[in-house]
Amino acid sequence: MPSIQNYNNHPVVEAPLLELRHLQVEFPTRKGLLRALDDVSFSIGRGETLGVVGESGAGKSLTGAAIIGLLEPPGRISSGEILLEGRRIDSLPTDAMRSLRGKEIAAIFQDPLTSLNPLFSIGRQLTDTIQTHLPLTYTQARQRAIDLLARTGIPAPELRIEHYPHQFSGGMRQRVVIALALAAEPKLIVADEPTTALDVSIQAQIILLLKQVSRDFGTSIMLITHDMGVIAETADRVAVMYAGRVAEIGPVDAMIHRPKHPYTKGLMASIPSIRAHRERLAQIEGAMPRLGAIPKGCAFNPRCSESFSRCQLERPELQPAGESQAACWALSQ
Amino acid sequence: MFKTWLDGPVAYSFSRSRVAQFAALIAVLMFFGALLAPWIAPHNPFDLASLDLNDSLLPPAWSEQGLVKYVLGTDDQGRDVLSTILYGSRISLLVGFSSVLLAMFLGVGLGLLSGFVGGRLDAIIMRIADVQLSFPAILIALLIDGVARVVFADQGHGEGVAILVLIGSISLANWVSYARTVRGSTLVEKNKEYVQAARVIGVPSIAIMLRHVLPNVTGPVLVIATINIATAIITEATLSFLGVGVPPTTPSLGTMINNGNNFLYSGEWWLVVFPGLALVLLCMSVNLLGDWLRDALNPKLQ
Amino acid sequence: MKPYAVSRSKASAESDGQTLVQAIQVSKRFDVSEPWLNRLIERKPRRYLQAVDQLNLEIKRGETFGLVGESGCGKSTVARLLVGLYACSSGEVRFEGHPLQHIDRIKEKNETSLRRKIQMIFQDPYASLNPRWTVGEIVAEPLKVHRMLDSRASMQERVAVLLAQVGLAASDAERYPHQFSGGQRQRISIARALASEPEFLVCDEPTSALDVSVQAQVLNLMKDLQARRGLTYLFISHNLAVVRHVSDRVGVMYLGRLVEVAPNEDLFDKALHPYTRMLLDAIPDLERTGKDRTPVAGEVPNPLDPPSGCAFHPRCPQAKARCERERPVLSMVDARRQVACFAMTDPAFELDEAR
Repeated sequence: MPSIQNYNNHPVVEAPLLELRHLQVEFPTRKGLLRALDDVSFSIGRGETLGVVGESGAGKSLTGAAIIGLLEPPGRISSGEILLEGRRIDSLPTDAMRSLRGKEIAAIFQDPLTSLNPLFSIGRQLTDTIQTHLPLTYTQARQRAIDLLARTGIPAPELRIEHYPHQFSGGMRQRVVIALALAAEPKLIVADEPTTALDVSIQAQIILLLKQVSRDFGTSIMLITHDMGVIAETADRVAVMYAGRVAEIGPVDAMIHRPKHPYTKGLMASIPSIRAHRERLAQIEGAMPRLGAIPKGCAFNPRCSESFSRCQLERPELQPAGESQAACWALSQ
Repeated sequence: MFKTWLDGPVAYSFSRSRVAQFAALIAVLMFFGALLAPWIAPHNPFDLASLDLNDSLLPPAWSEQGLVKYVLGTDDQGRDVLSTILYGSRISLLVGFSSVLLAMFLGVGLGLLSGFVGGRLDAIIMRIADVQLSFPAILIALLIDGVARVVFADQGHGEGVAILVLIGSISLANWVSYARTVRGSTLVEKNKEYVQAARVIGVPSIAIMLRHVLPNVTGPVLVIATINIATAIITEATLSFLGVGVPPTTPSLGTMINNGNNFLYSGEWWLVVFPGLALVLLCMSVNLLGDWLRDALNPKLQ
Repeated sequence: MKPYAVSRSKASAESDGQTLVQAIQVSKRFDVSEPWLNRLIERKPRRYLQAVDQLNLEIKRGETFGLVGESGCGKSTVARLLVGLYACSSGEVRFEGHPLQHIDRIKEKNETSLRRKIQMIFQDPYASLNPRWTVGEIVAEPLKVHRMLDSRASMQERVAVLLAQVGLAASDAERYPHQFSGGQRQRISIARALASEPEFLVCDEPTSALDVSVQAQVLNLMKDLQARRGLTYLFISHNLAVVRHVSDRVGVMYLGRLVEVAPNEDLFDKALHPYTRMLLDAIPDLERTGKDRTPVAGEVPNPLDPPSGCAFHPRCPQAKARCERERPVLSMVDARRQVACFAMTDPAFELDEAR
């Protein structure tokens, strides 16, 4: 693995924190076996933020769920490996997975309202989580909870620790969720659309918080979202997913300004910009194929302006393309 | 449309569920048995001329004194038990289905109106529903039946009137569950954008209620109705057993059980067991179908 | 109140710059009190939510007016007020000079009411189409309601034409909404909105629920249709980049009030109101890879209990004592821009006492 340089120049560790190797997730349905993730491979380094972008149905949330071990049955990992610090975690028994979750991998979801239990005070939820994973007394855990709330920007944490989730506003709730995720000092946070349900001004605050957390705690973040703007500001590297596969992966700057995969190019061109008033947005014809109807060869080929014969027959592997890697035959011509 | 239904999850669930298939078979058999009673019953229990008192109180065909002619035995008037069951099921099914239909009509209509219009009308209808729920269904049916007897006393409490009163009272006792469910669904659908879109287009309110909202709130109604059929049949049987249902001259399963009860301890067990079994089979099959339907229609369980 | 007599529409020849829709001191208040019995027992007063507060707005024929703001600012309520779904608590909405509440009674030459000229597209592609109706029935409904065509055959033809205009096939008319994707459903909504040949289309977050590439398709489609049919759009969104792309003029709302109205370039190049500036700063920017920003603190206050005076003053870096006491009115600062802010309109503002 080439060494990864994150933008804030933390010391680089060679071995990646998380590695996905040829991951496949399948769903048995009455119409047959649906392959939702098809040979997905990437890695996340220590302290790095990897953005995972894609449109609905591309499989990005599913990837996050597979990593945390929260795939909804009958979906299951049918082949491939997930490695955390070199250890396999995809086939762990439920108990082992449960202790892993929270301690080493934490999760943040889109809706802060449903992520918190409305019946318990946030102090209770925090101390429960802390004491589950760390050998602390209740007083120590409570103090740590107050510290976490202060770190995530909640004013007067000693007072608010007794409050219930409904007494917080949306942005504050998401901060509490982040505090909860940090409770046991995880190495990796999987954040699935953490800012989508929030207003623009709150979104900015949460993005800043995530970056600070990553810097201060050295936590790696897997940021799943469809919003390229959030990725641009937060991520070090980006993986673009399409129809259950990785189309392109590379540094965020290269992805936005020098995309190589035709899908990424089309995606970037179709995003309206606040800076310029264009007459027409570039659009990609057609739509992402449904899981049961993925074309042979490259999944994007029917919509691709650069496709040729090989694209319809063989599925492309990720190949080096400038600073990134892209799964496209047109690049190796 | 039927084709898409066949491909849909409901038909799929049916093909996977042995219970549902079995229950459907029983229900269909009994239904057709009752429907075709005049043609397939070996005897006509209403034809007084064909009755022979010498043949009364005969046990079922497989026991010693039984005759093959009367497969399940005869009652004290010489009527064939099997034929009486077939004819009696007609009454039970008629009352069951009609009262459910009437209750459904009433309940869905009131629920829709209540949810859609809201405000005071909603409050009034729901308070009436609450009051009604605090009375047991049998009690309501008894009350109405008692009143009807007094009102119609001079016209003679004939069979037709009795059945109508029976149907009316059972449906009046049961409409509330439909109304509540439909009202809940209506409140949800009312706020959906397709209703707002219809308003923007200028569709009048009644049309929105009947053509847009109604088709979307009838889902749970079907499930309630199937389960209610069984309840209605049993209510009718109970009322007839208590003597306030159909007159004793027209046997329904309930009156048969009532009648047969008197003979249980004197040894003529077949007069109560077979009608009871028929009632149980009918209600159980309908109930099982209702259960299956509720699960099949629940998208979260798929 | 005197009944409004049935009259003929006053609309004259199409000309740009003519006012199509007008909102005059429009307010909308919702009663969110507890039920009567609870109020009686717990002695609570009635509670009201002022969703829209004295809004003044003009939309000219042929333009796209973008309305932006965060959640709770009242923009969706404004949409519904301008379309007639809600009645104003006070103030008036006028369409082509006629009061909107009488729109059903104003007939055109062929006896269809003026209502057919107003249509709406909604945010949720899944809830805006009746799941039990076929696409053909959905699109044909305006035709039936306004009795625009007689025979079934001519309606079917028209539906096919409309579907083609939004990029769908005529055979799609027999299918049901659940068989289509989100982007396709929005197209069906657009086809339904176009059926009555409207002139004014209110779009409430039409692409917010769609993926970026699908959004591009739908926005391009809407632009094409506007050019071909001379439509006027009120485009509501919380996504400033999208509004930048589609609008001619933009209005910014905060807690039920319009705080700034300006032409597109003027607003985005140099916003005047502090809230607008804050919003523009907060947008994640594709160009700012890796750079930090300092976002403005605080959150939108509870609309049930708005701040006194200027609603933005608790979060405004420039607020003075006056801003807490008095409420600024939307006023012209030059020929084309309006702002509701003392800092912008009062030349002596700097001398005011601090908060």
